[in-house]
Amino acid sequence: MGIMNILDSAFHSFQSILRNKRRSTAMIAGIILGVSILSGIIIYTEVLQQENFESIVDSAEYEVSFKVIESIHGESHLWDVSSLIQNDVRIESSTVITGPRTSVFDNEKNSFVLTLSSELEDLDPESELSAFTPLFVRDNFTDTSISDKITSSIVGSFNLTSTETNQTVIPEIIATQFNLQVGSIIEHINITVAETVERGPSAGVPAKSETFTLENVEVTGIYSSSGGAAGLFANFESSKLYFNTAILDRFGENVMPLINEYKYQYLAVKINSNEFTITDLDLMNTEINTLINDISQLAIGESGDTTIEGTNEIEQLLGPFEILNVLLIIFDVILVLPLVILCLYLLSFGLELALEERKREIGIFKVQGADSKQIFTMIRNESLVLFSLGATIGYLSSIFGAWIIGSATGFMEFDLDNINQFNQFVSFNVAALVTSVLIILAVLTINVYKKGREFIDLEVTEAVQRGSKIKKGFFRRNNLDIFMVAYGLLAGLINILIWETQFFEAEFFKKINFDPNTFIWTLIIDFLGIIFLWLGAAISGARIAKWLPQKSERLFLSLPKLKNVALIIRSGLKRRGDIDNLVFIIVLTLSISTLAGIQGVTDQALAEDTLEYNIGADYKITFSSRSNRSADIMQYTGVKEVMELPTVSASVLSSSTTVYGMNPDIISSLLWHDLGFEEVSLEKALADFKVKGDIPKVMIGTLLAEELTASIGDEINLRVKIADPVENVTDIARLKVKVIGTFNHAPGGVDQDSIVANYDTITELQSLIANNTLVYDDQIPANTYLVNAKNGVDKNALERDFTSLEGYNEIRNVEREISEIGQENNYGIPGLLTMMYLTSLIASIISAFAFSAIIMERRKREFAVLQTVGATSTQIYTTAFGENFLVMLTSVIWGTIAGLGLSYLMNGFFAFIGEFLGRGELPRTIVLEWNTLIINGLIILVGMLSATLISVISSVRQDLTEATRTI
Amino acid sequence: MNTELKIQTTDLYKDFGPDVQVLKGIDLKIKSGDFIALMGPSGSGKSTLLNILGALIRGTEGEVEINGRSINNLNKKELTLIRRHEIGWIFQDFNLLQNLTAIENVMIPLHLDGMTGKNATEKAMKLLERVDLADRAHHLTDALSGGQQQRVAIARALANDPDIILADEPTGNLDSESGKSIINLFLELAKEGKSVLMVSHDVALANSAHKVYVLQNGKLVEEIDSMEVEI
Repeated sequence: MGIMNILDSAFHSFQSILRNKRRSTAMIAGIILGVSILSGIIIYTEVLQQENFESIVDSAEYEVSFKVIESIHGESHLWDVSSLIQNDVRIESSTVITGPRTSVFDNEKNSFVLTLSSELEDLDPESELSAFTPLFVRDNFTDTSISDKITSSIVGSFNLTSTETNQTVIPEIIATQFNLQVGSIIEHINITVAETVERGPSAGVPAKSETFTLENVEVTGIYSSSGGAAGLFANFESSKLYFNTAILDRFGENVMPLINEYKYQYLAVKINSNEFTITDLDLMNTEINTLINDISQLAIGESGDTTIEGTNEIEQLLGPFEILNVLLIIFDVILVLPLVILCLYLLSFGLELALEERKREIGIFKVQGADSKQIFTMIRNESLVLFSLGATIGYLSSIFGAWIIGSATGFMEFDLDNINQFNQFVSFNVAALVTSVLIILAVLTINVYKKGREFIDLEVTEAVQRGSKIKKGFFRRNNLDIFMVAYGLLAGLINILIWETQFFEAEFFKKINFDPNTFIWTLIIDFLGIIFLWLGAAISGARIAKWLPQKSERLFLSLPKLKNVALIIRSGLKRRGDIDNLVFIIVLTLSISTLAGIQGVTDQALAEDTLEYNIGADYKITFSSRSNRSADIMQYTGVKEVMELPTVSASVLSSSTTVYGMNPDIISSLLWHDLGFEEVSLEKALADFKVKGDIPKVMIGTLLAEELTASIGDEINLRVKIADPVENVTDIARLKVKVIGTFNHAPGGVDQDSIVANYDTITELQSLIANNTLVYDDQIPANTYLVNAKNGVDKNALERDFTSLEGYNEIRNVEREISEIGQENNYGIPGLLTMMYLTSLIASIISAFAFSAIIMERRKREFAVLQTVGATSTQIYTTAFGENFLVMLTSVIWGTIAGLGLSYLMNGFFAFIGEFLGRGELPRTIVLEWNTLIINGLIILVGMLSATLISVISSVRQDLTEATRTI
Repeated sequence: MNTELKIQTTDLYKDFGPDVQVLKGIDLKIKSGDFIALMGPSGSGKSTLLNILGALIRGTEGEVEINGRSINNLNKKELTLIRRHEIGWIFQDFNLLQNLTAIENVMIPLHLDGMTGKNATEKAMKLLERVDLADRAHHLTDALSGGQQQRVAIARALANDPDIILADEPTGNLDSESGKSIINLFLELAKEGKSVLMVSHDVALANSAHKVYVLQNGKLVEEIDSMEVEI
């Protein structure tokens, strides 16, 4: 077939499509939406992955590290190299760290490990080699961007610049455990370097060991436990004590040979990400490896070879990152799959409708002598032209759509001002185009071959016969749709009873020896439930859309406005075969948009709840040292109340815990959600809390309660260590307390393995720790304060006032942070849910227009006859409205119910993804905003009715003579 | 009998585009009680003339009066009311609504005019009795024969007591016996004073009318007394 023939054929096909636009609408809509969704999700996921990776690189402390190859070179050699690379534009900053990169020295039969450890002798004399591993850094560490990554969560500062006095920066866990604060002086710290046989015949035997002692070490900073990009950089994990490298020079002459022998230092390099191709991981790796070799080149020694060896640290991150990406892709696919199925159905049924419309035409062609091949060629060519048009529009829409989704800062909230972000989406993505085109083209081709053949093979007489028999599908004929819906609804109900309301408690399942957390149960209930409910609801939709209007026909048709056209409406209601497929699509799409809407709102609510939980009041202010600052805070007129949040470390049996002190009079005005409280309500527990008794009362976290097998009414012993610096004696003290409540989470970020007590109890504990030498007045000291503002106060202005307080370190403002929720990295979940919501809404409205147009086209003659016998335009519109309103209302209600069921069934899946992505520990409880659901349904209903009424316009305006003419 | 003028056209023209003039100066008068057959070759403009007289389309030039009232400048709603109250349409294909019974189809114009309930039912039943179909009143139209369906269509056309009946090939899909019964109904209606205008190709049936008009090339070329029409 020559090119001219192809063009000619395409031109004729295009002409035919233009003349019969209506019958092609559903099919082209399916093609556009299908290509748009598939390519859109690929574009969006790729951009998201890039953004996530950029975020990882940006937040990583360093990307490259070097260690010395030969033991003759030590820390100073690395420091020299660091000076040499200072001016390299590819490098943002560098420093040298001496610390625990576990070195393994292989001997013939034994392998050795070097450990650095410290002993906070005075404070923790019972421990031997403690977990408080020291890390020695150069004084420039304070100024590098490397320290910036953990400095953001530091009380005090990362001040290790003194080379004369001993300073340390300690983790929060140590500060809490030993009641240290910024400015505290630790009298003795022993640093031990030990070479131990790790494996082999002499395993466990220390080979060499050297210790030196630091005296009067000042705590200059206290940092939060986790640091580093998603905690993936092990070097900055918790329990590290930071010291200036100069300390090794002053005291470590005995340990330095061992440290050098084990090459326990490394040069940490933070790259300048602007100089690297962050968007292409492979290329970026090559560029980093080039940098590594360039630096290695600079460190060439006498041997003529390099003296240092570099490691691309980012490369190690790629593994987990790629796993994360794969999981995100799986998650995206699961979310997008229903939409793709929907679009393919729209395409398939659109094709069927178009062929149905042409049945007579095909029959006439056959009568004229056209053979099957010629007719099939005509159908195929038109489909291909439609596909080309649809795919082009679809791909262009996908770029725009992916950008809109990528701009989502929350569910249905967008930030479209970022034009740089738009540029990320607009580049041509071959993978997206090819994948989407191939999939949709494959489905179209299969359908054209299959359905095209069916129509062509019809007998001529059958083809030209008016009317078509409506055949019920397999599922409806065998009533399987009812079974599927019942199964899905039951699965949803079980989900609600077990997970949402926890109607059945853990003891019940233990009694019946059944565990609902197993994979099989998840498969049977959640997985099958979702599929059955979604498809079953859509298939049974037509059944319900017929039954309900039939039952309510009498009442409905007696309405005054409908009385004059009641007979005509009844005739139309009986002819419901036309509308079966429209109902199917409406239920399919509306259930998805309902699911997306509910989960979007739930997601937003969870993000807000998590913020509120972490902050606990209007503000959470942290100071660098512990003292009472309530008066300082109350000086601002906008402040309503202040609550100190003092803490004490304690143990119960073998569980370590933190006891938080709270003021019972203020607790009820904190952001303590009722759902966080178990067994007894928050109100009851608070009432009990306020009542003084012989035994102090506490509320404990549910995790701790489980570990201790403790419940309401139990008495437990809180154990604290007494420090007696004078006598150098340590002992323990106990305080018996009574449990009056359990909580999942408490305000201020108090988690499930903590305890909440009142101030008297905290004072008593602190007094015990101080061996009863402590005297407090009413002013209980604390680092952290929870503050509530008065109504109507400018919270941002008040926040600025707080930052000027002496010792101020950090502030959290719940109102500001809730408004900024969307700016956090939510891994695109709000965007994806928005995409589901919008796409399903668009699909349902397009389907409504396409189907209504075709259905009304079929009824043109009937409407013409009615006008001929005296029906006015208004009466025709009323007829169309009356026939369709009940059916569409039923579809909308049924689709919403199905969507509700799907939301509950999929809630566990969303919760799993959220937990996996580290989005907080609060339980994910469905939030039903009824006005959102109603608006959702109304949009569809109004859209459908508008589509119907608009389609009737052409009937009302038609040439009556032509329509009533005998064919 | 009242011989009031029911339909009058004066110099009626109808063009479909610049090169297609279907009616060329038709002057026509139909009085009450007239049963007129309109004949002519295919494409002569018979249906076009019928459609203009039935207020479905407007003429390009000339005057059309229905019951003494010019319909040239009536708006769409007014034309609809004319069709509802003054004209009864009968089609070759019957054009009854599926899924409704015979009596329900007859009641449609009554409902459209605001008469519902028992009144409408009674009137519709009387009309069906008139066309000898009372016993099939509650049968769906699909279950009726062609002749029966056409009689239901006639009953429907009479629902709002129109003065004028327009029939476009009413016997085209019927056998000769059924066709004759339809013509007899028309004759009865004419006797009652209604004006019946029928388009037909059937010469024998056309002979049953009081007058036969022949349209040729858009002009009313002959007015023949029915007895003179050759079979």
